[in-house]
Amino acid sequence: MNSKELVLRAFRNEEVTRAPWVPFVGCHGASLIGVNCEEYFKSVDNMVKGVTKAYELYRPDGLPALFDLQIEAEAMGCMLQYSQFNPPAVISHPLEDGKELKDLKVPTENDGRFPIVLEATRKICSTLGDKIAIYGLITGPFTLALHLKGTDIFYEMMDNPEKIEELMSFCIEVCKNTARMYMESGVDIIAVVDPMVSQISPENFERFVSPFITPLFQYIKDNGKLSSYFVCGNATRNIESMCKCKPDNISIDENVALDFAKGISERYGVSLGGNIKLTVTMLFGTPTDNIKDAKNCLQIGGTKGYILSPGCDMPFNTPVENVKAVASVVYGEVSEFLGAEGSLSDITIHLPDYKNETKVILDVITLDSASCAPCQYMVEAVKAAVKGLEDKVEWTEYKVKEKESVVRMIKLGVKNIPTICIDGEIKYISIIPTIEELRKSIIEQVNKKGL
Amino acid sequence: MRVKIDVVELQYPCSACFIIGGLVREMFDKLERKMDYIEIEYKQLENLKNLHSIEGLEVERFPAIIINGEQITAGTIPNKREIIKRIQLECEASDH
Repeated sequence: MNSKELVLRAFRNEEVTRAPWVPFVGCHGASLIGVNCEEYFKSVDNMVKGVTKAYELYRPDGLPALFDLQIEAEAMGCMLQYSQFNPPAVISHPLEDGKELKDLKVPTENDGRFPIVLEATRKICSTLGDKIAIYGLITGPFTLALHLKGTDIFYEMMDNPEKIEELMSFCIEVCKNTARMYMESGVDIIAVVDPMVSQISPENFERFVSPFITPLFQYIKDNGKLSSYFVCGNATRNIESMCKCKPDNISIDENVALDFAKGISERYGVSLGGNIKLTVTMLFGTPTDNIKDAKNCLQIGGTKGYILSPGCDMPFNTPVENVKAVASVVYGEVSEFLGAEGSLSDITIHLPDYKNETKVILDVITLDSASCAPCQYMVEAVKAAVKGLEDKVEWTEYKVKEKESVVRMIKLGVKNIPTICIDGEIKYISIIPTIEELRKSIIEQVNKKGL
Repeated sequence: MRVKIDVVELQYPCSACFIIGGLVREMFDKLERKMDYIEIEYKQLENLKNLHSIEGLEVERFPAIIINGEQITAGTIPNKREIIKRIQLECEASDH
């Protein structure tokens, strides 16, 4: 079973050998190839390069062709403000600025950035589409309605609900047509991304979203493709209503408890994805944090009907080594990992008697300096710092891909990687010291031991 | 007399926070033109470690609106009518 088949089977709620891994690389693709978001979202070549780079680095089972929830809005007259590190933002709303619904038209292949986006999608599907599942992301109808109408939509839902139903009917036509364009471009899955439904009550969801979006999922099914309903933000109260709309899959972020969503989605025969914490873990965390978070998601998600994914579009600056750390878990390269006492109980490690050793001993705990950038820099700093001190100092890299290293890490009390311990004492945690600083610390220890 | 409003956002927000952040800015841009006594500051958090430096921030969901040191919203689209009312109340309180 190849990666693509793994995703498709998990989507259909079938038991699989391991949960598939789908990192939502959108604007992060720009940082992978060294361009800003505006350059990325306006260029076929850059989008193709970014997705290809993500495929090479992260070994995913599926990828989105693009993650930009403003494409349809832009093609319908919303003004966008492009930025360096985020997707473009909608800054005007035609229906708030005097236009009427009858003035708007459903965008086609020739409008806005669609020519670029569809060409990029076709290229991505033709190069990667036989190996991994490609997602085509469309803006969900409620989010699109908000783009077109602005925040007045919330007042009109109370004051003039028929108008909003009319708007939603129009938005669903846009969704269907966008889904069609992506399906014809070769994607395997249509993800309807509707983050703004986290802002409405279940009652409003059932009135203004369900009747419109349910036929959209049926339309996707009728075209032989699979569908996912993405939400981000705290949509806990709407998870059940989302499942009732009959997508094949729903995808959630960290604001919704995974076990809660799993319980509901299983009842409706809908598969589930997402939940790796975007900010705390992926953006600001360490590789260890990412490994723990991924393990936790996999434990709850299991191997039937769960796709391991971040909660939403990965931030531009997400550290590459954090995403690689998640991939290491997926491929079983991080040995059963921390806290898996059972699998480590048969391994005995004796730490040196550091105090009485005739050399200063440096233990460098890494994920793997060959594949993790901070680990690599830390090992390089150690190599440079011990130059000329080889007769007094001994250093070893311990990669936590090996069980023995995990046991050593636990015994040393190390919780984050990479870390440097000097004579058994944790000295540098996830911070690469300067060569001078590290050398000074080592020499201090050499002198302390009288070597 | 002046009402101080802090809007706290993440530098790299998720899609929902990003869209809500844009709507919050739009709303305050309009209010600022009508209410010359409000002073708005946008604070972008690069790292969650800096949270404690923001006075009045209690619920860590973004964008967050803080009016005169009291957090009013956390990660939700604000109700414009309620925000206006709150600003007017704060203004009256400071007048007395």
